[in-house]
Amino acid sequence: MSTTTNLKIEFGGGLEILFNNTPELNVSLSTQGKPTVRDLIKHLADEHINERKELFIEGDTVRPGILVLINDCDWELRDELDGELEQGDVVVFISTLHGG
Amino acid sequence: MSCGNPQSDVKDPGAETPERRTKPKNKICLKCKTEAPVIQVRHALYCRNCFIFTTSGKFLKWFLATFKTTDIYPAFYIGVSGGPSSRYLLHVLQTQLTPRKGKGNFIRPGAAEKLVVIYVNHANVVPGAQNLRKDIENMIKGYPNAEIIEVDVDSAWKDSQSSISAQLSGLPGQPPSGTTSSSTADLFDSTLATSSLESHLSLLTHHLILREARKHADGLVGKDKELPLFLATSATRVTIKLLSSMSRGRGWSLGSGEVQPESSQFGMRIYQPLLNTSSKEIAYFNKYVVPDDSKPVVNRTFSTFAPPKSSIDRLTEELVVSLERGFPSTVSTVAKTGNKISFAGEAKEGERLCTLCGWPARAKANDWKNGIAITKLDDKVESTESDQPSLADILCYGCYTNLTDSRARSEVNYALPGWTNEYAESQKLTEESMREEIKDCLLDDDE
Repeated sequence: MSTTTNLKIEFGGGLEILFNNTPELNVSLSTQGKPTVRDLIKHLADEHINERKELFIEGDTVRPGILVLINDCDWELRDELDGELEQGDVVVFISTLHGG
Repeated sequence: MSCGNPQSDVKDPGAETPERRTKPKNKICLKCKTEAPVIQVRHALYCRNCFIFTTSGKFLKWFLATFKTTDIYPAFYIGVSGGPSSRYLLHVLQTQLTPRKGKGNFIRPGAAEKLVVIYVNHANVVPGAQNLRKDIENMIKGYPNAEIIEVDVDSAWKDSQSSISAQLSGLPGQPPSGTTSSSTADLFDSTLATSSLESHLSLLTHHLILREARKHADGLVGKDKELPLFLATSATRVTIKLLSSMSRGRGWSLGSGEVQPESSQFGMRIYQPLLNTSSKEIAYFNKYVVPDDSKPVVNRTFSTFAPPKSSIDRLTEELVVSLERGFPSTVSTVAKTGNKISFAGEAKEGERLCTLCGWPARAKANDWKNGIAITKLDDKVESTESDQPSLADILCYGCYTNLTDSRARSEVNYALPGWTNEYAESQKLTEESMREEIKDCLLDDDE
């Protein structure tokens, strides 16, 4: 059965430029079971970036130099791509790249 | 090996190998041993409070080791771009200097009577870049005794009608044509490579910060006393700088200051206290601590949205951040190695400073360049017949390579910043003063 999870997404470090200068987004993810960070990254790249997706995504993960926080917690402590997201989670993407 | 074609059946055998990552075993904060961790820095886990305490404590430890408690400076200068690193440095520096009651008032305030923020505006030169003056005003609004000096990149060309500029423009004895701003435009318009554009901008920004700081310091303490100037180069950024500087031919002067925690240039004592702090630590600290209404602002650069191979800096950045993700301790190791590089040029003959960047330049850069470059015989004959001193005689190899990377190639058609003449004059003075010192030991030609 498909479930819908509502998430709040924030961008920092210049990454918002890729998302039409939008610093915050509300996203609804429809998935079988709980969505993962992998699902979210794919959704953002497919639905919210018009061009230069490669500056955000590399394979199925974010490019090196982009940090991810889930509810203010480093995603490296939450299984990174396989980390499950809950209703109302706040996910922050911060770029540390000057050129991107 | 893969042939690079995604449709090819021949695949890179290493492509499917997962990244080798070491996961920390403990699930509690390394410091307090009680709270759940929220951030992993290299292989250490911290809870939010311990991370903030440890990160600001790292700066405090450096500060106390560097400045005597009895010293009170009329001003501390800080170069601020508005980006994450300078926002972080501004915050920790201001925190240490602002009198507060209670916990967190780590050192006595008043190490400096005021904080002078120097901001170089790139909006006239970089397409799409904004003037961030208002954002930076917002960043310092809560702090007492802070002021901003804003300077445009164009101002590097003030007083640029120097003999060096004229000589470089190919018109000896005549001032370069064009107004101040058009000279800037000429320099950036006639440079083809993004690597050179970035290098020009970085060099101009560094020197404008130095010169504005010195000009302000002259009014406070006179010309002879050095005052501290803080620059916010992070461990990640210094690693990129170290590798890209070597790639650009700036290896000779690396030990002199560019990647060092402390150096002196143009009468300022330059401190780079963030050389042990990664961009990840800075980004998390800004996220946790810096108020929402004064968060860092990232401005456009020449390589914003550009592919990694667009410039040496971009490609090096790509390498370094990939290294940082895959093997977290390696970047800080490279950054620390940069601190250990020392300049070995003092004993060599023909030691001099580049009149453009101000760092030591190896003599006869042109000979070196000619030795590795393919040149036409006609050009060679022309250059040997010229009486003018060549660019290579007054510039370092890195600046020479950057400047000659223009559409003109064989002739540099734009003026150089005003300070080039000043540096050349100061070097002449140094040579004269050295001669004065050893004059008793010199033999006259008649003797």
